[in-house]
Amino acid sequence: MLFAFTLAASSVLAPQDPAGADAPAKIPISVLYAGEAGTPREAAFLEFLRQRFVKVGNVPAAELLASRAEGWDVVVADGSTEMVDNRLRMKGCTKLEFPADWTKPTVLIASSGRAVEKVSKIGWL
Amino acid sequence: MAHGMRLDHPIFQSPNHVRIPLTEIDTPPDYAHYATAALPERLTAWQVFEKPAAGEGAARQSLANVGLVSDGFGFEDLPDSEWIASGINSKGPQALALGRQGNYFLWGFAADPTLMTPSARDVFVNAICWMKQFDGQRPLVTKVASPREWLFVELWVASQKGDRAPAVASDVSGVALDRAAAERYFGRETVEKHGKDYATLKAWLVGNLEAITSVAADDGGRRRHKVVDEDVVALGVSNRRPEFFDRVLARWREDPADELCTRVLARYVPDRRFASPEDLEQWLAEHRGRLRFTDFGGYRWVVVPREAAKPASPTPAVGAGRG
Repeated sequence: MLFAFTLAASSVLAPQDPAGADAPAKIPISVLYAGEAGTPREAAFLEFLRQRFVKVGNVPAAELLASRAEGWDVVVADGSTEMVDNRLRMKGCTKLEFPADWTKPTVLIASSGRAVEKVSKIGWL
Repeated sequence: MAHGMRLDHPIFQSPNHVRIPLTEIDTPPDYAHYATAALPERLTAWQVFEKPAAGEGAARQSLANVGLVSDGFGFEDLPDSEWIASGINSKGPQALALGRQGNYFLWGFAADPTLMTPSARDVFVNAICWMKQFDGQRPLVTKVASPREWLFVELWVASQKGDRAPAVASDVSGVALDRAAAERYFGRETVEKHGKDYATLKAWLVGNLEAITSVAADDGGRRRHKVVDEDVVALGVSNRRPEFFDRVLARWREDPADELCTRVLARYVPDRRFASPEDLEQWLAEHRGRLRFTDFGGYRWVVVPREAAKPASPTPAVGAGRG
């Protein structure tokens, strides 16, 4: 079952327009993924990013800001939310507050956009 | 579903040249009261993710619904900001689902790569690549106030939702005014002076959209009111157009004791004190090409850094033929 899933996922995650090569060259950008460590969601992002970029690393969301993402080109800051007992539970980077001096290129996934609402125009509407 | 995509943006072009499959969807009915103009009945849309299969569990099911949109009105007021696409949401057609400010890119959809469509996966990769060049940057302003286009939404609330599409001209003579809501958004003074009824209040605010500013409420909290700046009305020019400075300068030269000139300069260029018309003229000669007005940043003019001073472009109108 796991084997079947891996094959299917690899096929599905391939580039839409791979420029004719069987295994298109990976993009020479290093990407640091920060999300919920050890979750299937983290695994899905890492598998996908590793297919496309030459260097991909991961760090638990809670450790991202302290790490300053030193040595990485771009950060993918992942977050999500879940309703638990009628209360919104924030997960991953959704719980962070990026500081004003954060200058690393950062892609904010979904609810993690709220993590920059005090330092940008982006935020939960 | 994303809509309003700027398909000429590099995230749709490179390094993956992405063929975006487009479809037509009905415009969500609730968009009308968030819009700044009449909306088309159908929107051109792009499917970004597949809904999780039945039986995948509540947390995964919720990924179809828990994305994030940010305030898209006037988002491109400064050159560090790019409005790229909206997506079906509960906050209107211009809410930002894909966009950038400085070193931050919002990818507002919550689906993980196994749920993204093939084209979305390629665009996601392109967005990461696009962002690499913004290393070392940070946003030029933070959000201090809500842009003036929120006026229409606030009018909809103040009309007790009776004026369903406030940006579209219609007969509102019978629409009731919720005074408490109106005071919450526009302040007690405005409602007392111009709130005889809803139609009168709307005419005052919408008729003076280019003179709207934002002032702190007097409750000591973070609340702000949108008010018409009667000094700007007297100037007869928008506070957010470059002609604002030409009009102030001409008036100040004519009467160096004209207090309106020093008042509006202090209000809209709070970072600089001007001693005389000559001082203003010299400053304009030096900075005119880099002056931008930001509602988000507190309804003020800012001098943007030289390297960022490309012309700002307006947020595209929904249904304006992109894609």
